[in-house]
Amino acid sequence: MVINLSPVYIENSLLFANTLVMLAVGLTLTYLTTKVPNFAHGSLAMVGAYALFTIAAIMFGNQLSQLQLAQPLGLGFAAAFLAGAFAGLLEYLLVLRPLQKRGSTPLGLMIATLGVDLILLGVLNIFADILRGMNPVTGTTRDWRLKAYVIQKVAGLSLGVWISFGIMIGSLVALYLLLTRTRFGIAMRASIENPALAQVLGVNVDLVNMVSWILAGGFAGLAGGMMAFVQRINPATGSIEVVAVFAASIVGGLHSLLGAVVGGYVVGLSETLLTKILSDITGVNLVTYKRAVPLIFIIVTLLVAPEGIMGINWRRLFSRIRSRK
Amino acid sequence: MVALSEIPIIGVFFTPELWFWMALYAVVTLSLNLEAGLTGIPNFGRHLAVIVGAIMGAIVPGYLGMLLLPQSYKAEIANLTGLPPQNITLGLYASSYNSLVATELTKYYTTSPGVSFLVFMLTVVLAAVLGALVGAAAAYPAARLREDYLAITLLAAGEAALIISYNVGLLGGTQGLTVPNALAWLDNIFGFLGPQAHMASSLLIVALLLALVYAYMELLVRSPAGRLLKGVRENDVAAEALGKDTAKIRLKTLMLGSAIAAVAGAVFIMWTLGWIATTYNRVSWTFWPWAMMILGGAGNNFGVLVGSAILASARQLITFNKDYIARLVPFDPVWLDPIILGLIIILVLMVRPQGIFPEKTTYPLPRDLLRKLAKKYGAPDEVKPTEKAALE
Repeated sequence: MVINLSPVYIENSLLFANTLVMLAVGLTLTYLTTKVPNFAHGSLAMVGAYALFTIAAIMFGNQLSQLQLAQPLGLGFAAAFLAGAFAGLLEYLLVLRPLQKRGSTPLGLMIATLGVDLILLGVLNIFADILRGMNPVTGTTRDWRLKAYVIQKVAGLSLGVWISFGIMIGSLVALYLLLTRTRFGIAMRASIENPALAQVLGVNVDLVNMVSWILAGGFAGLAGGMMAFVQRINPATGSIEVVAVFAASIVGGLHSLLGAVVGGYVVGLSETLLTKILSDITGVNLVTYKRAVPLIFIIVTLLVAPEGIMGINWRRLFSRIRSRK
Repeated sequence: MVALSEIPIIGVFFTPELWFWMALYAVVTLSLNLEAGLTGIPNFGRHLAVIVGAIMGAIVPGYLGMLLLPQSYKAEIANLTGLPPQNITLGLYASSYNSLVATELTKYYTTSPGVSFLVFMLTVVLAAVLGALVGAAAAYPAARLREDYLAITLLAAGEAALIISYNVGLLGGTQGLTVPNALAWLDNIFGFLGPQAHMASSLLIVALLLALVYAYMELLVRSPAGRLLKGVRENDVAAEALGKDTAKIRLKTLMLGSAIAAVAGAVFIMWTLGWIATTYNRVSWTFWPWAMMILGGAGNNFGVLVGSAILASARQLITFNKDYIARLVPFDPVWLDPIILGLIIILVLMVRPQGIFPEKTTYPLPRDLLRKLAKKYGAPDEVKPTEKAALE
């Protein structure tokens, strides 16, 4: 039993966990405001990823020049944010809001997000087919990643890790400031707590919902772009990864944004690092089953503590354990 | 038949494959309707039961066949593979010699129809039993979780089963398996159809299954038990107040529904004669049945039948006319498939959430008799809707 974890493996695990955090925060945000578990969240990330791909493909063309990296990546991530935000807003305005107005059940809304996921999957695949003529250095439209562009070391860590942490922390700080330091953010929190009461007090709940979908979609778009640092992207990647995102949100607690951050790391690192360590210890190749890890997390969490990590009253739990001794 | 199927665009309606898909999807959707439409359990893990059934359809004819295989066939396999005879064991079925072994097993089944019939029956029974067990396991979260959490849990369980079965060596891993033909006994009877014999026997089996399931569901809906299921769906507190054990009713419903779906999975693999886990994904075996049920009308068996027929043909129409559509658009037409499915789901939810054929109220007795009895026990006269409006 030799545990050999290369620094690259750890870096990749962190990158993966970061994307999960970004995605889970958005998923939790829309769940809090509109009370819909959004199954299309993974595909929103792919919308962002393909926006980034398109920009990178146009600007990189066929020559690999790492010196001029900043411009296309910066523009690409901006495009990823906008594309994801736009898709998220459209999902809310065209599908979910009309359905809510018609008095659809929560289950009906959930099924509708599955429908949106399928539509996005089809549209992204068609987009990838149309772009097939473009063969940029990042790969083909059906199988690409940006790893080669962000692999060089900057102060001990690869550039991708810096970018990913930068984007994630920046987004989270921005979200935190929005929610705690601005009037609109306080209105947002109020309408999360009690939409009817907030409306009575003059909060535009519909605007709050729209902003939450814009933010969720934008964060998903950024996460989709970051995903290209660790894994190969194709149009279906989003609907595969959405399960892990749900796991992250649920493990942390679907009612807490901080929970999404915690859950993202718990699930992301378990799926990558934990399976690798356990495989090395036991000698059984568990890494092939790693995609089952988030699913097991979902099932166990929902059955044992449906409110997630943030929903558990830890202080009471500890004192109960202590008093038992 | 062959000539008719060459008609462009609508020729697909003359291919037996379309009718097979329609019937098979109708069975799966009816089983979903029992759980989600009638009893109100949002089962988003329909593919879980189908996977379990399909695994049985892949395992039983293969491994049981290897157990029963006479020495002469084993000698032939040893001869063909060049392996020593003592190495011709069960494990060979999922090895790299899988397709060769499957061919030998099919030969054996063809020459001894009795054995193949027994294997077939055992496959179906085991699929039903294991499906029922899966349903019983799903009843645990179903009794504890809220609608949306339950849906996520069952979906996750189905996905987990898919990932595990995709990697297990017993099932050939990512390579999948070629499965021996357990319908060989019926293929023999349809021998006069030549290469179409297997299609004919599969079609017969699935048609029988559909007839059986549909008849059962219709009887169930009209029976007191059917009204009980709807009662649990509408208000389980009220049902419990009337002395009904709702947890037990949900358990039974899930067991029955999952058993039916598992049998459908086994029948599907008996038709395709190949196992590969990725076939049993959530889109094909959970979302499509859900769309079929919503489109046709949840809670209405006939509606479910119509919904399955419409969407199964839509899907086959795209597949059938792939080359034709590909000339018109600059992309692969298979991507229209998810878009159409998604649009149908959303449009139905918006325009007609009750489906094409909404659920009908089922009366315990003929309505005239009900009216007479109501009068006898002193109920006030029925107010006609027009008069009611006038009163208000």
